[in-house]
Amino acid sequence: MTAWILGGALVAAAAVLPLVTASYLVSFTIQLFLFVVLAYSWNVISGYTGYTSFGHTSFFGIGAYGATLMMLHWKLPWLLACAGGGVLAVAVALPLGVVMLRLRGSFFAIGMFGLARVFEAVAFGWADLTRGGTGLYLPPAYDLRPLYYALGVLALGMVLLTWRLDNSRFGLQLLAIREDEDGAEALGIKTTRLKVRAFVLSAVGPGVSGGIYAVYLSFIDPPTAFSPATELTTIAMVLLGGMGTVLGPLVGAAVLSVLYEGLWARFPQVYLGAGGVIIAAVVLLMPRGVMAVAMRRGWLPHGRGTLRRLAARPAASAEA
Amino acid sequence: MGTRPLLLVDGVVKRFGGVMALNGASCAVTEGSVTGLIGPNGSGKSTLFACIAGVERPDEGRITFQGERLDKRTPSEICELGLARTFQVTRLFREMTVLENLVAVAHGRSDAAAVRRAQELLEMVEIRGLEHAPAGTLSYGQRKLVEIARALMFAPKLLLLDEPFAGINPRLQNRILGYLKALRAGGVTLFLIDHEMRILLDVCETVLAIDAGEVIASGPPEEIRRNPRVLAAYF
Amino acid sequence: MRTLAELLTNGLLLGGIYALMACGLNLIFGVMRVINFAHGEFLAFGALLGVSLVIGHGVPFLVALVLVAAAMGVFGYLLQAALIERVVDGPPIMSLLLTYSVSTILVNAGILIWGGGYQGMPGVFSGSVPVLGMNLSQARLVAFVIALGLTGLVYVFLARSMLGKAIRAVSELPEIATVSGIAAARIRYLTFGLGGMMAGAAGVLLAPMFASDPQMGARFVIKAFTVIIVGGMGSYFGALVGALLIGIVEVTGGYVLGQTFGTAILYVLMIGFLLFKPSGLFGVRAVAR
Repeated sequence: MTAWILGGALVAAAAVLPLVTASYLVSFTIQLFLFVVLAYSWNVISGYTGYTSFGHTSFFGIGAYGATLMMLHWKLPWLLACAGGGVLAVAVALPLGVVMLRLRGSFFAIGMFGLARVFEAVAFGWADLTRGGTGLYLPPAYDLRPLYYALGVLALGMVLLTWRLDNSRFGLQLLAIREDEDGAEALGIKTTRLKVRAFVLSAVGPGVSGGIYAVYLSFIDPPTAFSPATELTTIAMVLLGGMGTVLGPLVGAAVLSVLYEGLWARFPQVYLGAGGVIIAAVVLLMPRGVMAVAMRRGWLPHGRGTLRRLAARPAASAEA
Repeated sequence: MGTRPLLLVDGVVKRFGGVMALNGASCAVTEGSVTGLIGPNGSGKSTLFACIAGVERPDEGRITFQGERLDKRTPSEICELGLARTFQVTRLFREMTVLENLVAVAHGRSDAAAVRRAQELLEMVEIRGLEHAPAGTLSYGQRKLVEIARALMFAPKLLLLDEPFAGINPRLQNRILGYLKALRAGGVTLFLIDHEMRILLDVCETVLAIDAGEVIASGPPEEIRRNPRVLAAYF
Repeated sequence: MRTLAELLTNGLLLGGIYALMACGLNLIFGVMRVINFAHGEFLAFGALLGVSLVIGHGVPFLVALVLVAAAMGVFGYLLQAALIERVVDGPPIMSLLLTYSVSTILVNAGILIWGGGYQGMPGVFSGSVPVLGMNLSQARLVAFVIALGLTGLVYVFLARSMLGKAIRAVSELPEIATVSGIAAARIRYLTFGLGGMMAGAAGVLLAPMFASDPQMGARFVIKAFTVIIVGGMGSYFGALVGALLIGIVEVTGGYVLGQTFGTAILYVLMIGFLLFKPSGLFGVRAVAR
């Protein structure tokens, strides 16, 4: 119950923020929302399903370029174009997922990394379409509020979707795949179908938010669209918060966003390395993230809530 | 309890690189029976199980279950046909709770029904109190019990048990023996591998002996125990 | 206008350096199943240290090569002992994440030490040498010879010396590692040191040819990955052949399709091999997880 009240309060606070504060805080929160979306999306394929992707910026970049080109060439309104970017990302994710998910563990990670570099190279090389290294320019976004709310809604949506995933059979089976894919397959779990579904789902967030980010910057070029730094930050956030959990990405995104903001202001020279230090620290000290520490200490219960609640019900009428 | 073979293995050959793991293995498991599979290390027992369960694909031969070919199917398809298995080294989903381990494989059931069934099964193997414990925190014996319960979640017609008695104390062995007998009484066909002779002889009606990739003998336990080929293979 | 022969030869020459780098990467993978994402940074540091010594302090090139290689070797040894050793037993993704993070830390460190710009090594082995009717860059020739020499030297070390055999034993029979804990750990430290040394040396050799900057590692590490995936993980010889092949593909592809698509081809090749022939051309083990 308290969780819901807290959550509601946060949402309400976020909703009124742009109306009461300066544009700096709005900008900061936009970036925070962006990373929340990216973190939750990455969490689906890497946290839950256990397929750690080092190249999810592929979908971010595809969404960004897709949306931008739709706005420039088809004169679509930005919101529609961003949705279009998301559709494009998903359309690409489906065949890619079928192919790439045949790789396991580190090879999937490296394969996805390579894929992101391929897309980056295409963005560079296909100058007729993308203007290569020069990048594409969009009309400047003077009013950040629509962007803020769009990303905010997307972020909230991702949190709620993850909560639903966590309490669903689908989510449970993804975790099974992460734990022991062959064992899961031997027990009748349709691993390929579920993995691909998770992969495609994980492309929606980056796809749509890529477009929004391009609108926010009024500009997109290959290094920005497919930035390994974005990938690194996303991974660090989920790792810190806890892979395969509902609140982990949120905690990680919030903590790191604040940390990075502070670093950027005071020590911009170590900005990059700080992400590395955080990942290293988490890997060495708490590989399962903050959420797992909380579970182990007993502050949070193990396992998913819905099943717990169902199990607690007295065995009244047989529903089988 | 008919004499119709539920599972038919016919001339299965499986090679791993240069090693011939199965060399024309053939056997039958009748419906409603409890059949045991014995053989020295390296005889091909686990490979045979792996082929039946769809984890390995035979190079030659066929495997049929209730008339359906198994040897060309994926493990999850085979599961759907009514075959379940436990593993020699338990393969539970360690980060998930015991309850979640069971519900994760409750295909076709709603969550509420799945939880109910899971609780029944956990009750049957007498570890109901552990349902919210992460599977990784259980003792070896407890994990074996959870594996059995999990395999029963899909009400299989045929249950493959890979060394269910290995590495646990005699009291737990007897407990599991009791559960298996209850299962057999309930109509589940059991096919098990184990080294524990006394248990196999106690619970199995038919025992198959495998050596060097071939099934060399098949029959009631006392017969197998005296079979010269079997004795030669083991000693 | 480049002739086919020139392209092939240039590719081969480049491949020699890739071989040095990739064999080091392969060694680390073979012994501890760790994919060293930071390998590129060893190369970058090697290059930049080389530039600092040669241009900044007038150290003769070959002396600098030895010094830098030794330094990077020690650094690799310490890195393994202090950090990477802790995750060797865990899921492979953890070691990948750790080396990935070390890589970013090193890039940042590099930028802090040398600035973000490019450093050249002018005047060292500049000019070209006529060979068989082709004009080959002197720097490339020297680099090729030294790189191949070093690669060969390490190969002999692995094949003949006690330590080398111990390293191979751990790589071919990982069960040994669990039986003799301390010895295996020290083997791992040494292996990482060796790998780091090779990457560092490769960096120094590259410095006269290309401009070096702290971010160059990323460009080369992906090529090293491609090399060992194509050549076959766990195979020293495969890494060598793969490197020469990749060098040729890169130079030819770059000439035909332009720089960007030339590099893209490499990634596509890597992904293709990962998917369809994961054991590579000469892979020793079936690549499972």
